[in-house]
Amino acid sequence: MALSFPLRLFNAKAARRLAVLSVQPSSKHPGQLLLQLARGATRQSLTDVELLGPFTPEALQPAAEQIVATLVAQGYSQSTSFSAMTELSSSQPKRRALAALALGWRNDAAAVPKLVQQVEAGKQDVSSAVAALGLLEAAKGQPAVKAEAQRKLLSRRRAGVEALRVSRDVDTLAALRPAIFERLPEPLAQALAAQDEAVASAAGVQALATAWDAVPAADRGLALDTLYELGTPLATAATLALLKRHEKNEATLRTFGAPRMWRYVKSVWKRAMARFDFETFATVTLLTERLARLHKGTKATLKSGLDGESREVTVFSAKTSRHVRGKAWRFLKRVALHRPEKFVDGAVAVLAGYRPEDDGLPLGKLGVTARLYLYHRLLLGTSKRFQLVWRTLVHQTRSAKAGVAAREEAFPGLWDLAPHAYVRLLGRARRLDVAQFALGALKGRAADALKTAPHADVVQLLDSALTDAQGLALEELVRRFNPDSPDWDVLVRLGQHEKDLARNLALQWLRRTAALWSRDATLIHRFLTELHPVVSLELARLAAPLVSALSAADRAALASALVAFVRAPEGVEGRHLGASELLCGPLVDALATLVDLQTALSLLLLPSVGASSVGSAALGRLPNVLEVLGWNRIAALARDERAAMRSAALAIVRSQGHALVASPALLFELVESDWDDARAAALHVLSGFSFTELTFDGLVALLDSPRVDVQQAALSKLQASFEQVDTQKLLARLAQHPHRNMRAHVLALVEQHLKPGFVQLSKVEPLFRALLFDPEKPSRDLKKRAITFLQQRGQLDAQQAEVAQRLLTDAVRTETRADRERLLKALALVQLAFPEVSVPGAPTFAAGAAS
Amino acid sequence: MTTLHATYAGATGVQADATSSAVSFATNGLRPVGYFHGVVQKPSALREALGALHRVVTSDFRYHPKDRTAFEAWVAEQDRKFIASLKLKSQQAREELERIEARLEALQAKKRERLKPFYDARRKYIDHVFTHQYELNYLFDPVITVHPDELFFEAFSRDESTYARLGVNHELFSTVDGFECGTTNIDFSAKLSRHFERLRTYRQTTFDIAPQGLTVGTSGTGVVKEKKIELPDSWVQGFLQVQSTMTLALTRFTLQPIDVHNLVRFLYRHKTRSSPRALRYELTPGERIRAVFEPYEHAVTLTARYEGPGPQVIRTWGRDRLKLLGRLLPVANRITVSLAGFGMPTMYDVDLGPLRFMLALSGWTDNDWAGGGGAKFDLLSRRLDATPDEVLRVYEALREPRFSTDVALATKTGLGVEKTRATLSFLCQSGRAMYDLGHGVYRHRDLFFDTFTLKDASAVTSQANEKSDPRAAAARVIFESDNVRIIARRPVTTGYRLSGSVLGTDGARVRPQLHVEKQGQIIEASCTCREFKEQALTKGPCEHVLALRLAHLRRLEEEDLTIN
Repeated sequence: MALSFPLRLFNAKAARRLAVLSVQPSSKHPGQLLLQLARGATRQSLTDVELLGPFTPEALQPAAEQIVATLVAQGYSQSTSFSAMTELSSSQPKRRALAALALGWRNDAAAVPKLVQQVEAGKQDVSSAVAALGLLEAAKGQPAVKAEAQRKLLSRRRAGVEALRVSRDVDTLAALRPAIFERLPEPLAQALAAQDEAVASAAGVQALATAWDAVPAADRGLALDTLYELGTPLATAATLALLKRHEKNEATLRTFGAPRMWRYVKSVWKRAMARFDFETFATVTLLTERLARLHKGTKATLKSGLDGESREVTVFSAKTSRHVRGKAWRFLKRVALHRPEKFVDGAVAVLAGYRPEDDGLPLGKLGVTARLYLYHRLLLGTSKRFQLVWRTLVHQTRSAKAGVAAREEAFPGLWDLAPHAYVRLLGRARRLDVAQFALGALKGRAADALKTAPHADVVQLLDSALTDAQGLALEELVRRFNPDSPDWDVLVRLGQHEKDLARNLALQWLRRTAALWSRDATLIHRFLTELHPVVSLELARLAAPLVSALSAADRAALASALVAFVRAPEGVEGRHLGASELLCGPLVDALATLVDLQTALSLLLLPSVGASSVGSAALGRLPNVLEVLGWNRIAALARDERAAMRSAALAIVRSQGHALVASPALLFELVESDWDDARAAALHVLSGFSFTELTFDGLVALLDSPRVDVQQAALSKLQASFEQVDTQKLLARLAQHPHRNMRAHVLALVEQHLKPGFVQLSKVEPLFRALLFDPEKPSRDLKKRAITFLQQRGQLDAQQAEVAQRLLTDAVRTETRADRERLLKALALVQLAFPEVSVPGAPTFAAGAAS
Repeated sequence: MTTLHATYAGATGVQADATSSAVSFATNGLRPVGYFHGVVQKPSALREALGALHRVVTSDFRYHPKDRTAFEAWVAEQDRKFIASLKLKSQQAREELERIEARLEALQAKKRERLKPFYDARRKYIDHVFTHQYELNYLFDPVITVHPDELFFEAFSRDESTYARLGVNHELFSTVDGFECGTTNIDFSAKLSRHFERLRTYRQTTFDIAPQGLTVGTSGTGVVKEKKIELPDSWVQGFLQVQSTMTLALTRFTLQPIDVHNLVRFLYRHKTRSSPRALRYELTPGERIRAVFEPYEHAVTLTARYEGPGPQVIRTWGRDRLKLLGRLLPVANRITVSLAGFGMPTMYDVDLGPLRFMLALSGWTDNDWAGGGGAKFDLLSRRLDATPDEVLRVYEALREPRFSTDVALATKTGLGVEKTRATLSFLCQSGRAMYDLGHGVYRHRDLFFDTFTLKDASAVTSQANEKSDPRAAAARVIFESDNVRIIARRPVTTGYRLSGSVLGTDGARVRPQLHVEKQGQIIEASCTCREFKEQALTKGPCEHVLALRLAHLRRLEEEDLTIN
């Protein structure tokens, strides 16, 4: 059993009655340790000090055991163990309980028989004795402990189960499992039964969280504790996720301290300490700390588990929250003293959990972090700048003059023993000051830690709030990267990362190693299916020209695997895009054999854009697709609002649209579509029609379009085949065009090509009325030309004069002065030419008025 | 809120090929009545009229504050830079900052340029989604009614301040293949205007109103579109209030299209940024009418002469809504303007030959026909008591021929003319009938799905019986407690002129004066009370005016009975 330091030994007969064995880091040999043996009459007069070592961390324990053996031979025995053993026989249950726990923490194996006796005695201190056996990992096979684990009373059952778990008594736990499972509410039990509990998958956690929501609110606390009691990886991860939900906002935080929840949350917290599950421990502790700042408890009448009596109690009172915070620190301190190798894990979990929003308002001697109890204890535990106010557990500034010491964190020696913890903390820290603490260490005393840190921890540094940390991570990753023998796992991790920074690095590496991975179809498949959609798409573009180098068999296998991939649900939006890029590009030929009509249509209907694109490409490749689908279905696809659906149909329209020459209704419909691609495809086909194929009516139908792009295309077509067009018929039709864009073109045609005579002039009347009565965006030039034209035609013969006069008279009372003058002049000239023509309402002019 | 559930088996639209086009209106499948099939003779006028109706349905002239978020962000950034520059003491640091900012600006410009295609695509997508969703949830579909002589569309603008009625006489159709009278909603979408643009005289144009509308899908059956629109109560009330206004005595004159062109052109050229923004009609007997734009005091002399008995100045607001008539002007024959009075609704009835387009504008844009402004034009109209049985009799008498004059209905039902008019007024205010201002007839039109029963009739009369309105209830209290006295009652060509003395519910004695039509509708009113001084008639008549009318109506009824 491992010794815990400092170790005190006592010999009542010796002059130097006390011997203290402690550990110190070696200043000369970084990473190695020294053992310090100090002896004296009392703790205050340890005069005889001896330094032994240095030792590597592995060699430390044997060396210490040897020293202890020597001291025991000299008549020394462990001092506290001695007194604790004595205390175990005390008549006071509290003293017995404290002694049991002390022995447990100290790993004093000699205490096991006595502790077992305590458990069998079943007195008030039984839970502490069981917990001590757990700490000693000696509960395995103890019938008394098993009996405790089956108790109805939560505290005793918890102590028993957790002692067995720490002692790795797998068989007993398996036997207890059905009873635990039975206590789970129905929805949770069903959800758990459907999952693999050995794997803490995200989907599994989500399923359990959903099931937990279905549990009545009053039973959720018990369900949470029972779930955690199961202790499987999935149950533990789900419990943590459910606890973290309370971080969301103030309302969710308050439910955490609610009457039928808090009792069980506290139980989970105690179990977490027994298991050294620091993540759960830190989450509950910090939530308690946050809730204590805004909630002073709720009165509720609850039934006691101990005596079954219902009493009105204050749930989550100030006293309780204070107790939790105090006990959390005492626990961490004990871990530091007795399980030093675990301390930094706990410290990292707690410090990483603090958020910038936890800051309070500064007031006098209280800084913004004054109420962050564990933060101060862990990060500023040895600082002289602050002092703890015990009553309220806040840290106030002791002296403004006190400078910042080089090391202010608690147990600095333990941090130095596990320098990788700095890397983990830096990657996870949400507060800048916490991140800076870790970064400072990594830049100074633990500079080498980054070089030996696991890949995952280095990648996680990219999430750090500090730009410097991201820079360090990138630097380290670049240092580690070997383009000749790349670590594809690291590359995939980077390529999956949420941050652009990481993904860009992954892309760089992919470009540098293209020659390697492009030869391996399996690797291409892995990248396309596992990387972030953006990276996957870029990779596909990189791979497109290189895929041709693969053997035919590899290409076929890759295409087949990618088709299977796009047929599966996309999960994250855009995940299919990379695969679809390759399948619709260099691997498109393989689609004809891999995808039949049914599959192509089913792919088209999937909500994934990538899958629809593959379906669309496959459809276009299918032989006799036109015969199979028919124009009606193709038309329906071409109208679809999804671009991928349209592209399949439009590809067919483009390639085989000429077949519609006899009945081009679909083309005329598509040309009016709201979708640019549909219009472009229809115009592409129609522009290939000769005038004879398009016919005069077809050309006018295009010119009639309210869309400017179609009008322009039709005008070009008209220009090309103007000689074959019946101009007068065309003008009569275009004169009715309501679109402003067409008016200038039509007026120009009228000016140049309208045949003489009032019949033709009457037919284009709507054009002139539209020009003269447009109040919104009239064109001065067009109006001027229209008036001039009417004036000229009105001067030619009496019938035309009548038409012109009517139009001019209707508009002559315009408030636009320039127009009115022109209109009056035109009317005067027309009247002068044909005075016998009169139109009701027309102004009359004296002779010579027009001049 | 009234939830309008509509299910359309097709879409409204125009399907045009090289030689023919078909205008199809998809009707609400949940209302089982009404269809029409015909061939249009003059599609270009119909095109413009439908285009104008579409503009009304999609218009919203309310004040929309400018989005200043970007500007405010820019100002905040400038402030930040200025404060940051104050902190910099050395010239070198300032220069360095300027250099960095210039570089940052260049990088941001580059970023904007690179991301432009993305932003453009995103904007297009959002526009698409917005338009689609807007139609489904917010665009109030017009109501269409098929009658033996015409079919008509009625719609409100998005801001509920503009009511449009497009009447299409059967003369427009060269052939009418069949129809069944009824009222229903039709599918209307924001993109319809483009469809209507394709109508031409040289293509044979069929006109269909049927549940399937334009079915362009492959299936041809089944539901294409489902709408669930929360109709504000003000929308429903608006329909009823419009009818009340139509039946009022109005000042009317007829304009040429160029007159309205001149007014609309001025509105397009001048964006008024300060009050007052009224359009003031100055009416002097025998002289050309002047329309004056405030605050410019720009006067447009109209072609029409005023033929009324005395000079009048009527100010109207919300003049920008006249732009809605813009596209009708090239095809319009004349426009009849009806003014209800100072700050009161205005109506523009555009004659398009076989088509008539009526644009009714509320007093001002923010004052919708019923809701926010609390206008109570129904109080101005007839208020004679009627029993539920009488209401039902008149309803049935109107339902069969679909339209009729009040006199003809009185003869048919055996009720007195006065009683019939009162009953018709109740029917108009409950959405069961409407008044056709152009033709001067009442028309049957069920605004709601459910059939009209005796129970509904008693609900109508009890609602209309003053209890629903505090002012009307107060007037009834005054009248029944004999606190109203007619001082003078003089018959004139248009009806009666009255003056009276009323002891109000607040204990103050006031002197209302009243000019009522023979039918009992208020033409003019004034009162010495405070309420009238503040609001005039913009929110309906005060309790004193209403009490005086009640006294007059009682006397009128007594005379009616004596004659009978």
